[in-house]
Amino acid sequence: MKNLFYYFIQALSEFRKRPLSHFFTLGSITLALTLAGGVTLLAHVMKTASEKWGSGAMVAVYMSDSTTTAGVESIREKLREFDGVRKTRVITRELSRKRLIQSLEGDASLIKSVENEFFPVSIEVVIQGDIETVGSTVEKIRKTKGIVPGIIDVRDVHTWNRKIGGVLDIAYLIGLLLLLLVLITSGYVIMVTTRLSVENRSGEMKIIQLLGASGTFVGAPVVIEGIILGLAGSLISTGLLALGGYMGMDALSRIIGESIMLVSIEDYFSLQYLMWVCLLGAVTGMISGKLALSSVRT
Amino acid sequence: MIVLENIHKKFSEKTVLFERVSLTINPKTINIVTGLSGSGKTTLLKLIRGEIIPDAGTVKIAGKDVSRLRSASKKRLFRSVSMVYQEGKLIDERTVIENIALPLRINGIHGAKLRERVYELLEKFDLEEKAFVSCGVLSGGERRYVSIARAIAFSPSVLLLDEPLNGLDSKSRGKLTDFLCNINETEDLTVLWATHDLSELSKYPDPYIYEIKDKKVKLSRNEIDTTDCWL
Repeated sequence: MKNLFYYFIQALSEFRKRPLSHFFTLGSITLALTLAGGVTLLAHVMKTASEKWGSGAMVAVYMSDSTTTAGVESIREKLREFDGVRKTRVITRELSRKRLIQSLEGDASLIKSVENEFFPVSIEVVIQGDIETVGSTVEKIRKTKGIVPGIIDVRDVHTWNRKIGGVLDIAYLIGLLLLLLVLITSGYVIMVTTRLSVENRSGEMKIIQLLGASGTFVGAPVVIEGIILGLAGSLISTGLLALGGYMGMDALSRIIGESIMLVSIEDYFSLQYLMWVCLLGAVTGMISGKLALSSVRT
Repeated sequence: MIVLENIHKKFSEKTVLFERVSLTINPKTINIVTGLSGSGKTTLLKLIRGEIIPDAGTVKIAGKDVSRLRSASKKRLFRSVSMVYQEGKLIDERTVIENIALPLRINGIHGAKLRERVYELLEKFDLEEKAFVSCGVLSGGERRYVSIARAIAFSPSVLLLDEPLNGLDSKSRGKLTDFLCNINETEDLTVLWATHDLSELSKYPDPYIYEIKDKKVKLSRNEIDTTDCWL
């Protein structure tokens, strides 16, 4: 235990003595963890999307121009009574216009002069539940067109949502297989780079052994070095992944629209996640250090 | 007491170094091992330290056969039987102070006790100014001093010196000879000094000389004194 400080100092001093080999080891650990984390994040996004998109739908019910505010509220109340309806929201003319301007971006100037009155009032209905309930409710809402006074059109995204949900289930499974492959490959790369680092000082280790040092005295700095590299790699990879993840999700939501995105990665990057990644990095570094030692030790 | 019995060692069919060699090393004194280059001086020292295992026969230190020692016991043997190698075997990337402190750390010595011993040795070998210099940039003589200081740092029972004056200038040789000729008294050691040049030991009165010749080792001084066999 008294030697722990010495092992730690030795491990740190190795970074100064051999910066290049440590840079490569750190790089491979970071790359491996980023790849593994990327695949896991992708799998998480796919799983969430498949759950949300596969078991839910959103329907837009358009009102006729003559429908009063009280009429809209009355229709909204009726829509709420259908099975599986979780949320309803009235999209006013102003909001419709604002959304269109936002979606047109550069071309928004074309409709800036168009008044609010030209945009329809609609009610967005979010339905959740099993596929049968969702399907049946969407069908019932669709049939209100022309029957319930004030409703002139019903549009839903249910059909393609369900198909995408099925595809995402398969993609999630592929993602998990890919993760396994990445972990095995990364583990091997880390072992090889750590081994190179240990081989660089096999002469030094041999001398220490000849002075009567125990296996722990010789190997502990290498294992501690592996743990430090693993932890550093974990933190860097988490940072890169969070940055890439948020940028990717932002880009995706711009493409497919925030209202149907329904997937967020904010809950993914929790303190618990960071702790798990650090643990994985430290264990990976420790195991690769031990493996490298056993393959180089004389 | 170090006792070699019927040692046989060959590295190939053509290079037989020792055939049925038996000898007893005199304790607490300087023992010279001499012979031509390639005669097996270094091998003999490494056999005694257990770094090389004999093909036949036994090497016993304090009654224990070193070739049969388990890993942990061998580590303990390495700590009590120190060796100064011809090539130094210093860790070049580490400083003088770090190299000398290594055997102490290995033996669990830390803090003030460690510092005290290291500075005592630095002073003894005039290495104070080089304390924080990497061993890789030291001169041949300085490297030899560090090597000897490291070997005696944890007060071993036996010190094996493999050609300690080889490659040194006359000034360094003189200084180191003076030191080594008294080391067994100041450090209470059994010394085995391998050399092919007996003139190195001219200052030491009447040493025990073991000559390796024709695959045998012959003691060419008076009988071994075994009255104080403390090992």
